[in-house]
Amino acid sequence: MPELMAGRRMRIVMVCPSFPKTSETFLFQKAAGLLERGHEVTVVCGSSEEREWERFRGRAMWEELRRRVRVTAPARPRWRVGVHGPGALAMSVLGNARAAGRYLRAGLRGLRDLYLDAEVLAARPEIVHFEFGATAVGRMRLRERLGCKVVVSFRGYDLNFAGLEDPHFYDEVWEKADGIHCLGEDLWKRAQRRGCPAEKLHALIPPAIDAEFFQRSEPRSYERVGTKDRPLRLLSVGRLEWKKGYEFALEAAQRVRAAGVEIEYRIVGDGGYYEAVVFARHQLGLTGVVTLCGAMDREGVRREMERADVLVHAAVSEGFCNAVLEAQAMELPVVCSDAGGLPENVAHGETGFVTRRRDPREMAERIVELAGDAELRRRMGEAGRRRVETKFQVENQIRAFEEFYGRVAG
Amino acid sequence: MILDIRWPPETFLLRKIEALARCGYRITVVTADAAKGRIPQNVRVLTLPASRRGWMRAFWLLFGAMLREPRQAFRGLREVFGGGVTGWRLGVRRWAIAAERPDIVHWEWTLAAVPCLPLIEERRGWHAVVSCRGSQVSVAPANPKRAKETGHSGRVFSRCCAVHCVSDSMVEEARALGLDRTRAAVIRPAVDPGQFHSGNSANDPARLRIAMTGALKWVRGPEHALLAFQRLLESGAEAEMEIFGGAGKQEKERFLYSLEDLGLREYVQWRGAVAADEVARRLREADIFLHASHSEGISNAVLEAMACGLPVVCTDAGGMREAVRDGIDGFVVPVRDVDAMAEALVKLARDPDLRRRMGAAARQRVLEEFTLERQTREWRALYEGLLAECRN
Repeated sequence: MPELMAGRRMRIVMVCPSFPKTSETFLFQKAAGLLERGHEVTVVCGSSEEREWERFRGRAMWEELRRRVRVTAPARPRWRVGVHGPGALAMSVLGNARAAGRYLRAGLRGLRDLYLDAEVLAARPEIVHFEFGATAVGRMRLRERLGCKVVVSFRGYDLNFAGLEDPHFYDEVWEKADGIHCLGEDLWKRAQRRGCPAEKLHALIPPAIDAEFFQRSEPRSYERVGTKDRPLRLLSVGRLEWKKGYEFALEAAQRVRAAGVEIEYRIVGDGGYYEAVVFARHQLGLTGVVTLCGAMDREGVRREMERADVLVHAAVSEGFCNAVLEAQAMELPVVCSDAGGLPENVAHGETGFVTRRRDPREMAERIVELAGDAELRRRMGEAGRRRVETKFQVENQIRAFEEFYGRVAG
Repeated sequence: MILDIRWPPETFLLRKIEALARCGYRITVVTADAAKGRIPQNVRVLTLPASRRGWMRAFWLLFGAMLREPRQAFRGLREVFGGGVTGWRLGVRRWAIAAERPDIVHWEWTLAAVPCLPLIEERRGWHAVVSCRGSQVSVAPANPKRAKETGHSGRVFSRCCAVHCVSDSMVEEARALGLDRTRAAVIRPAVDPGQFHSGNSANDPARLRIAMTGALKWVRGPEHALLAFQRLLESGAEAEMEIFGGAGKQEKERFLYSLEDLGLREYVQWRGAVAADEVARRLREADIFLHASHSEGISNAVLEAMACGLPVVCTDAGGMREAVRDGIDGFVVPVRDVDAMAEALVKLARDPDLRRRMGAAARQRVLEEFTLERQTREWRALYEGLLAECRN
């Protein structure tokens, strides 16, 4: 049961579109971590799939969390509002009569808002945390109506793409949110460029990974690689989307081969740019060399990382990238681009190389350098593990959030 | 009869259809995807019901087929009621052909012919022609997830009476899928030099204008084009870029992000999809045409730019070399090679005389090799040759 906490116990509501999700494992981790430390966490989401729950089975606090997930009543199609409406209304009035009253005073609109916010209301939160910036837009009313504090996270997409066509998209968030959380310096700068005042209460809390799970089961052997019998094993993990820059990674792979290094390149992930990736593979003559493995669970990813020599990540747009962290935890040297938070993620020259994005030549040079130097691979791999252990541990992250919530709550 | 294109069709298809109709061909366009649009004389547009909802339309097709070829009509009935979605597709097309009794049935898109294979295999009294125009032959087969579709391309090629390819390189690509060279007929696309004509651009000579046209898809290499353009700016040239072409949601997001990320927003104007006449007008005001495609049949966009007297920098994708002569009409650089693209741009940017010379050569080349008359002649030779063969 809950261990002792330093601060006081808080009632926290995490708001996200879908929970749990394999691609958003960090949310599960965070919710479980906060629960373990004795906070009362409720997750309010738009959908929650049985299939995803199965994938998480066996993790700490699984059952407890399951009980604490609330799915918001649907807003579409309209007739379903009619079906769910009375229940949602009753729940919110019974659960938090004062707040519900404040909603109803706003008339019909208030009734509509009450329907959408019913689950949050019933949890009587002290802190509402919107895990993705875009979901917070239009919902800042929660702050006054519930008398709670609102924290908004920015993780990449929400700053890089969401609402770009509207310069005032986040105005309300910048004005009303009690605290802004960004994954790193890069995103905080982007937030400011999009209008966030620099003096806003904020915290830069990098993502964390389960360094116990992502740990080598046996020491890596650093042999000579890049020959026919023992090709250099490259690995990439990430959805097949244009943002991940796979076309540039493949161009780099071709250059590595042209430099006389035999490679074997495995790509884990699936997505909408599949055809572009396969075509690039075909056109660059890499058909027998590059394997598209499809999406994998974290056990599969761990297995791949155990086997690989170098992790390649050529993204053109990135938030922070957990796969790169996991690779470092697995003692894999990383060659990545300088998109988004990657330069904060990888220590250039220590745990890997950060190269200019969209520059296959520089990337290839770094890969060739690593291929030829087993000692360098060892050094970078070990440094990577140390880096994750000191900077990106789950416990540290949870504690940082706790501390941040404490500051927000005042 | 032309099967399975959308209506109104792409500009190059419309040009072909209009020209043939003017020669007295009676053309029926069978489409499942029709919007309103001007229909030229001698052309009929037959809209197919896309699903069972369109049963009224299907009934009329069946009625027509019954009058002309009752056996085909009955077979179609069996397919429509017994074969799910594919059966429906096949059956209504069978009725359309039976009702219209064409001499020649032409599938302008390779993969559109695949579901109709049974029709092609047991055809009686008509000739089947299929076109190889680009990505369906050069890109799709590399995708193992589409093997079910593309795997049958070879069979389509061997069962059709003639296979039209837009370039010599397309023939080679199709051969890899099982095309027998003797069946292939290369007919390159044509440009209307009256619509796309050269003109004296009255621009500010200090600021170079680079143009790009065509839908922004990954296969067109938009990001590579932007990178090359960025290098051009870095070389000290004063330049701006203008892009004409629509984009899907993903591509739009990608393109706008790249613009922002590369710091090119002030230098690049993206106009979206624009009517052909307007494109022609804007091309005339440009100085250089850039085409960074990873794969092509033969690009109509490049031909149009050449007709407008623009020197071209294009990648060596598909049949581009057959249109642009490297060093004469422009520069042909290796695909995905940003350095080479940038180098060619810089060379042209620094030498107005070279631009003028190459532009003039490009226009001349289109006037000689890519005219509508030549294309129409070749189409007639192909179609009429098939009919003559049959009579003998």
